[in-house]
Amino acid sequence: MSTIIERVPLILCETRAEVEAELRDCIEDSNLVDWQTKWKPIIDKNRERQRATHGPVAAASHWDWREKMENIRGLLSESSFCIECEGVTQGMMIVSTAKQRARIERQKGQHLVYVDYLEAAPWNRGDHVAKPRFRGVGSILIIAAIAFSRSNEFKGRIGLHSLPQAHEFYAERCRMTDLGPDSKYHNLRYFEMTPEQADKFLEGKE
Amino acid sequence: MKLEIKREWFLAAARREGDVEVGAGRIAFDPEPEVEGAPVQALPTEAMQLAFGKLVNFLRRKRSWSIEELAKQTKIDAAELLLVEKEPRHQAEPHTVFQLANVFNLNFKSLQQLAGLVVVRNQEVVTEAVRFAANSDSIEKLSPEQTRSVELFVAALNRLADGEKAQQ
Repeated sequence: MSTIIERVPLILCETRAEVEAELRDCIEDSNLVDWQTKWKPIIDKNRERQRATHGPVAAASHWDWREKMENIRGLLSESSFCIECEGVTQGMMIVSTAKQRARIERQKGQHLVYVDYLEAAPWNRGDHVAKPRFRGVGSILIIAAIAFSRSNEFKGRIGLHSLPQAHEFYAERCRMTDLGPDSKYHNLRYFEMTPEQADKFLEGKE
Repeated sequence: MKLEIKREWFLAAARREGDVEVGAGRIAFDPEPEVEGAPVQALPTEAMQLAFGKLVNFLRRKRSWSIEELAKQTKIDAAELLLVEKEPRHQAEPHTVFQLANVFNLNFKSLQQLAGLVVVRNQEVVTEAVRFAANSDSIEKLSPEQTRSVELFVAALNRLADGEKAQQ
């Protein structure tokens, strides 16, 4: 059973009010039910519309979170996190402590937390709805990855492959180092955060 | 595991995050593209990318900037900017589009559509882009008509992006 790591605030876009949410340490069946019954219908509808007019559809349009959780069942190196607000799953993330090592020259080969998958609910995303509902889901999940890295004594080092539309978030908002397209990952850009960058991010410094 | 972060930090981070995309992870295609190593985006029509290159070219020349100067302003490699302007099949990097939108004060979402980074949902964007590309010539100096054409196209892109937002 998942536990609450911390109660965290999200911002309700419409009114800019603060709303209480829970960062939880595991993706459970109830979260997967949310994905299947609440996220997927919106994602599928948009995907069909895009595919009808523009051919192959890229990005996280058909990530199967149930399958992903099934694939990591029992693996000690894999962990999952989610954010719940108003009783509904607002974002999910799977991280690995074994899949990748650091690539930035001065920390090359050192352990890091690799963000395998990170996705916000479709109603929180500008590519699915005109007016996203909550802001802050991505930042909280990245904080969780940094905290998890620290708890594993990786000093806040994290790495990930950003989806094409999310480069701005990782480069400009999180101030991670952009190591460029990775030919082994469909040319997705690989971003990495050093302990110093993690410190700055947590201090809110640019 | 403890976060030990003040509530104000979360709120500031949420504001900074805004409405930008946050997804990370191995990409999925549906259906699988036939060519290995194909671009990760659904490509728009060639005319759209041609219009994107023309627009960058015109806006640069309107400011009497060389490619080198634009590279300096955007902090983007000059070779990448050359490809943007000269090669209609070139898929611009999202960061390039972001920087160009900033420097030329354009609507980022509109420019993303034009550059083929996101799926175009509004047929009018395509129509306007084709019209703009068809009316542009590669002469050295911009004529008053071409200047007007650029201005009208930028206004149309911004208007259509706003209209799209209102409809959704």
